[in-house]
Amino acid sequence: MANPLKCDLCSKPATVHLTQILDNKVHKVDLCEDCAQEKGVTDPSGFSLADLLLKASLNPEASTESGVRCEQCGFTPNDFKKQGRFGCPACYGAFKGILDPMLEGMHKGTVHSGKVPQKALERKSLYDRLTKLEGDLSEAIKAERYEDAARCRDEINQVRQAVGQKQR
Amino acid sequence: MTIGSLIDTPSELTDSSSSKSAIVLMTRIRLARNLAGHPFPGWAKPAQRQKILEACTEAVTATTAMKRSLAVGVDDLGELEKRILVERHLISRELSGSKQGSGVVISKDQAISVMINEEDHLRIQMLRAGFQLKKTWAAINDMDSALEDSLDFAFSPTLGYLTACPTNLGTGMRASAMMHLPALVIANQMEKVVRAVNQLGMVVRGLFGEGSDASGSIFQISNQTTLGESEEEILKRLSGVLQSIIEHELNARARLL
Repeated sequence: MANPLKCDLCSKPATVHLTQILDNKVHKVDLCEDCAQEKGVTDPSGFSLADLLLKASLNPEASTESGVRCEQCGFTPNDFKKQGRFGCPACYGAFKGILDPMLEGMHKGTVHSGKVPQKALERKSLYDRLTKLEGDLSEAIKAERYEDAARCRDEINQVRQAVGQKQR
Repeated sequence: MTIGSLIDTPSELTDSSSSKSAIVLMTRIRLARNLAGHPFPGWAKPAQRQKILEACTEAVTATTAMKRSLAVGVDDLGELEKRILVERHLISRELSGSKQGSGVVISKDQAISVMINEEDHLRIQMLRAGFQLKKTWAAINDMDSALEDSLDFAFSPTLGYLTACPTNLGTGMRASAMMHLPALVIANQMEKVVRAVNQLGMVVRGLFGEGSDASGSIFQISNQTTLGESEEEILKRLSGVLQSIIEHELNARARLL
């Protein structure tokens, strides 16, 4: 038997091969006998492939980047394994490698197509613009480029006004 | 602060009636929202939780929908009061057992409740008696937009609203209907219904959500997935499933009687 399939959870040779069709999408899982027993695969009512996929994508082999840490909140992939939840919004960027395979089996799609918090996003883009302009301004002053500095200052005032209107 | 006043006030669930509520007793939609740049409640330190609780309580109570609402910390509630709120579906069992720095704001008519520092910073929930997915969505959408005026929600253009658990990503929306299905239970057809509903990407749960049993033949049917479809698409799909369950229940009743 060349290249036998390995268990998705513990890497032992897989003997149980499961295919589930959810929303016309095919999900396949290969398991060894012990893991299959443990996960209750033999009892279809108490078994959710989504749960399994979630854990499968978190086995130590799959997440070789276990040294990764969320810079914002210090969360690690190990913490996720324990809690099943992330530490902060920035974790979604930090653990993209773990998240992406997990998402595929979990939802209808992998890209958001619903409501967008328009006002909050506009506010954020204004703040980002302000931060950048303030940086430009101090640089221009340092380099004694006073014409540029004046232009930055005027733009900063404009953006501040816009921010003020948004907050009302 | 006690919840005595809530108990005395007529509530959406106990006092409004609708002709269709014979099978669909209640419609409920909840949205999961989090503040950008703050750790999720399960990972936040006590001081951070407290700060988030204060910021959220202030924003929620300031909305017009929450005029004369009741805002209370979970620590300030007695065991009996918590049980009453859980029974009325105004707080979850998870919130009633949560650590310090959690709270809830409940509207006067008890149709809206916003749980703070449950699994996510905000769990906005709207209840309506009867089968009213569209109206409930319109109302909760307004409430969410009103909160957006003062709070910066964690959002990614590709993943949508960012939630503590990836199973809520995207819309962060869980819409459910509480259905009374005695004839399907007596006719032993519930198992078949559950299987069919699951195949359509919906979940069947007991009366009080995850892990609860279906006492009194009351079931909660809700969407399972939240990412990849718009709110309207999810609601349309759910509505179709609910309609066909109603039909099956009516047929089963006709056969019994």
